[in-house]
Amino acid sequence: MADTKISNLTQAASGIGTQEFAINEAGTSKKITLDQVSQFVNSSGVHVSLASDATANGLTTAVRVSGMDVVVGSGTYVFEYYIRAQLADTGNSPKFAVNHTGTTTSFMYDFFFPDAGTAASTGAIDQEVNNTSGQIWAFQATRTKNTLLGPEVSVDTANADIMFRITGLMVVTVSGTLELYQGSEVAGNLITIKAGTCLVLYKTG
Amino acid sequence: MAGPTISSLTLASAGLSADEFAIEVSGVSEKITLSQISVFSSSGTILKSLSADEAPTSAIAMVRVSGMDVAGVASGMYTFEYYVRAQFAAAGQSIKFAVNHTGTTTSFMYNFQYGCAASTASTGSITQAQNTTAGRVWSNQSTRVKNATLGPETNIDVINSDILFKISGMMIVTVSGDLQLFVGAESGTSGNITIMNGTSLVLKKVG
Repeated sequence: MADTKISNLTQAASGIGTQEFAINEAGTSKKITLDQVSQFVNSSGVHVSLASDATANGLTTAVRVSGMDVVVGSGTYVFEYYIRAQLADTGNSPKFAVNHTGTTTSFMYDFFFPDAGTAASTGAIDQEVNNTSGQIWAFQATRTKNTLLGPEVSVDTANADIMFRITGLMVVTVSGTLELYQGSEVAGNLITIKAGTCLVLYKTG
Repeated sequence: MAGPTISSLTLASAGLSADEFAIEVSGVSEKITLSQISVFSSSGTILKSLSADEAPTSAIAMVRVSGMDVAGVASGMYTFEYYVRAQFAAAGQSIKFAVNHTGTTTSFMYNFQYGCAASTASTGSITQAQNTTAGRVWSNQSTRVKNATLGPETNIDVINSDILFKISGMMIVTVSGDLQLFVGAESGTSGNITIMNGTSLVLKKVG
């Protein structure tokens, strides 16, 4: 390494994963790559989103939304999915599951949707509700990973955005892939998980 | 800085929080840890979780979940999200929560939320296993006063099984203090409540 002040060095055009930094690790001089730095930093906040629509699915069995896959190692995590979906038929509704392919000692998640009901949750999903009384924020929940939650009853408008939420917590002991699955209530009635669907995953311990 | 080329150094197996980098600050050589870089990159997000179960409690009086303390939450605006993993020894027991900041705050609000087993009303029957087509009511208790006890409710669905509770809040801090989570039981005789390992906090400094 040249004996030059850092401020006198040439500015890199951009950060590249293979760039190397000298570090002191517990008294030993080592190097670390920008990829390794990024991996460490992002372990405490991973954001995944669909860059383009997933293939429309009308299967009643669960299909993996592969664009939302993320490898998750040992540790404690909380996760929040913001799902942008469109349904081709108002008489249809979605089903969702979250899975981790490794080993977990605790795995819980709650699936949320805006319900058209004011006095009861009815399963009538509605993205356009604005009564003075408010409407019910309905949920389905499980404490078992890869459990398909849903279906519900209907949606308010075909081919229009609806936002669903999934909130969860997991304790991972063996690394695996965190996966989102989606199914349809009615066979052949298409549901599209849209671009912009995203996951915010925090490693809290 | 004289010495070997960086490429000739041994590659670290992974980034560690205590790894130190040489930096220059306004012409002065200093060092910075990978942990400091991470905090900067995460825009002030503090993540916390319980690494072991808290001691079970059936005390009606509020007990601090000390493993969730965040010391020295300084002046600024914050949002916080608690993800509480809890288990109950008795189905007839329910839970109370409070969030406190030991410094000075000019605004402090939080909402405690849980899955209710009913579809036609919020009944206080807590469930973590619910999958009816109608869905069920996501219930809420809330306050605008810090350290206010929210709860109890009525009961839970299954004993000795995980239940996920959420506490969402925001606060404006003017004098630094500790952020604290408190828990209490509905009844001192109905059985223990355990705040389980994995219980997590996402605290974001937003201003």
